Amino acid sequence: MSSRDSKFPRIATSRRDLLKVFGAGTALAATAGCAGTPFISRGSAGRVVVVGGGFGGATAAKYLKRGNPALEVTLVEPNATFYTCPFSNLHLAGERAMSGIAHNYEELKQVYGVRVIHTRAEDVDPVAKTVKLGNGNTLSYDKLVLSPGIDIRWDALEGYDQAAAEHAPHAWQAGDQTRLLRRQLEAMEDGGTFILSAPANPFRCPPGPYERASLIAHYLGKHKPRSKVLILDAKDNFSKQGLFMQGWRENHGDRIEWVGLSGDGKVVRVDAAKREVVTEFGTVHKASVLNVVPPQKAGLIAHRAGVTDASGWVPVNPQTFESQRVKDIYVVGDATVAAPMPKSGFAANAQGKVAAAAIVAELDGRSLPKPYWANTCYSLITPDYGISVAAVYKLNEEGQIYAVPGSDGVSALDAPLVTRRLEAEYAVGWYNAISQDTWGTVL
Amino acid sequence: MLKSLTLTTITSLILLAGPAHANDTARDPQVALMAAACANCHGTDGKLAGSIPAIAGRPAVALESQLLAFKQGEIPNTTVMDRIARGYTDDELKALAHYFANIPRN
Amino acid sequence: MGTLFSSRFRVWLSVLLFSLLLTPASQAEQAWQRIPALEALLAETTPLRDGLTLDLPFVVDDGSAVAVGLNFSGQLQQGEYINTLHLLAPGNPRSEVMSLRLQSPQASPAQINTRMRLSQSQTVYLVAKSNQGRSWLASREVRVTVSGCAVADPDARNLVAMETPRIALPNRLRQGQPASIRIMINHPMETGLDETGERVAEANLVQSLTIQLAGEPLLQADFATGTAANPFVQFQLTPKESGELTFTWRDSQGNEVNETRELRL
Repeated sequence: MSSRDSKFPRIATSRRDLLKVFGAGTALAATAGCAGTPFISRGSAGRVVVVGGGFGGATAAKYLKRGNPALEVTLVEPNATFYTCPFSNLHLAGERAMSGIAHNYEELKQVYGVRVIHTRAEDVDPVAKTVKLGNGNTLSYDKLVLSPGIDIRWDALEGYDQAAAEHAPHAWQAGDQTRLLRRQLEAMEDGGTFILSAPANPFRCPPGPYERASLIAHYLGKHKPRSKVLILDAKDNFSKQGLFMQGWRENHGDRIEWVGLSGDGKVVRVDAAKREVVTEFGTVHKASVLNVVPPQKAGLIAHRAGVTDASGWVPVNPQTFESQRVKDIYVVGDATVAAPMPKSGFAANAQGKVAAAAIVAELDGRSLPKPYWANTCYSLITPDYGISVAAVYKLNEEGQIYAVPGSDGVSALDAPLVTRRLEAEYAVGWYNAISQDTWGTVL
Repeated sequence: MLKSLTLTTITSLILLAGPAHANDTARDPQVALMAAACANCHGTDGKLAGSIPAIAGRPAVALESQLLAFKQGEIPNTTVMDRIARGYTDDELKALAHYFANIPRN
Repeated sequence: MGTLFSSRFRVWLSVLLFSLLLTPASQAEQAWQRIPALEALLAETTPLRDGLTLDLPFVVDDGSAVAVGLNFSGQLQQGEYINTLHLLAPGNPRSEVMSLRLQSPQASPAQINTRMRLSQSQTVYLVAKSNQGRSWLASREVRVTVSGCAVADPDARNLVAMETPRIALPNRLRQGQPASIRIMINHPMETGLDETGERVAEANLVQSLTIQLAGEPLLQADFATGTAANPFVQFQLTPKESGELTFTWRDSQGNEVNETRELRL
């Protein structure tokens, strides 16, 4: 990839690309011609298709209908039950049933009148403005919201492919992988080593690997007290590092060992069948249970829709979360480049609302509202010991997202135990609230 | 002359009419979008009560003064609300307080 | 509507402008000529662009150690080889990141990896020079943010001197087959500068890594304030014959660390 490609929009190279540029150019002409009465299909206030029923997509669908009940909103999501990554670490620790992280689409269907189709979105035609579905049907849209989450980069870490993930689960998309890792932990002998390989930035849920290590250490401490947790990390700095390390000392003694990049912690090869990993400088580590959190990219449909860039993630217009590359496609959640907002469920929910508000305003011919986002990530070091990072985000004058100074920061390092306990309670309160807000789940 | 006077009077009336103004705030998509982020912890429309309290339907004055106290760091043992409150101007906090005050609890 | 219209208009206007009126190369050309460090390096030449690439992430969450790939695969003339590579980050308090001298045809200018510091969003430059005086230029724009969830540890490890040199050679080496070598030493790379580039303390840097094969110079890396802590270099060696590899690090305090590895084909 030459330096030019990063700076300037691609020149069309394929028929598909040509169509895209042509289509978008036509759109410009239309917009320039008449200051923005968008074409809307007859008989409704507009058709919006939302792909992906996670934090970003389900929230977008709900808030689209709240913003304008006359919109035709269709949500495309393969699974009737959605399992969240947040709180899946509690399941791994035996502290929460899978039903406690399961959500469905009944509120969206029955209360908000969203049409929900359980199938996969296979392809997007941004010129005809259609989405091809796995069930053979095609949906037309005026506006499309993609909330595709992440895909694993199977080619990025030597030896780690889909077959390997059956031996050494990633459990970074919740569901069967979560169950598999839990079964392995239950079957693990006392005195064994649980190894977690953590990737370089950017990846879904920056504090996630460290919360997972914490809660698994909590489980091992209770049930397999001679066992250890080893984190091999491709970074030297990680989210809430000081708080995690303090929490580990206070709660888990020396059970958790963390090896960063400068300590030869970067895993470069995985032998999943043997549950072995090899680091950058040739150290071989053997695990009783091996959890590889691999490098990631935007979910497949984002690539199919042509909204990703060379990084594998989706650049968006921060004010609306509309793709920078393809008109009328909005992308929210982990798939986007929204830094300094993290790839978190909270952020995806907040982005879903911003995209929904922008779409409602545009289809209504109103001016765009000023966007606001917030994020709070709680992490549990034990079920009773919580820490947090929070920020409120706005747009600066250059149109870029920034964290409002003073709003961004982590829990105090010297906070009393009562605060840690309170934050653990609030973590549960947060999960209940965001589950209710996103899917209508009553926990 | 008469026309402009009438206009001024109407404008003043709108500005003076506190509750009416607040109701407008509650329907304003701009304030709704700002307030939407609160739902992540307080439930949709701020109605969910649990370890984190519901905020819908509480008096605007009480909500506003509490938000300002969070912002000023005047509430002991705060976890995240001091940080969150510092993300908004005093005017924005006032608008949020009015927005949630005007949402019925049920 | 107005804002959206104008931002979208700007995007498409820039597509039109850049594809019709200006070539990207001429843009970058103008940019580098305004940077003294680059101008000094390229003073007497017009740099070529084809064949030299600089691989960096588009968005960086943590600017303290950014993985960067340097790769030369351009056309060379008879007897010509790349002998130096200079990595520059003009947006840092000091622009120097690292210089590499390739002192033997056995050390390849292809697929070199290292780790650099980026104090803010900027364009990073890579210059390659050949023994015949030709030069190449590559650049890459990078946006640096601090992710909301990636706050660094305030009291990270407090190293003061070189510690734990690490060298990784492939298990099997074959004559004439390129093999990747990784080298790292633990060191804080203390710049002694504040964010504005003012000196507030004494610098404590690993200044160089020199590598010899069978007593002959192979590669020298000169590190600078833009080199990430724990200087890391990965390069390709195409060995001609077996021999002893020696690695020597020198720091600004006058300390030296030596390591040797037997290279068997």
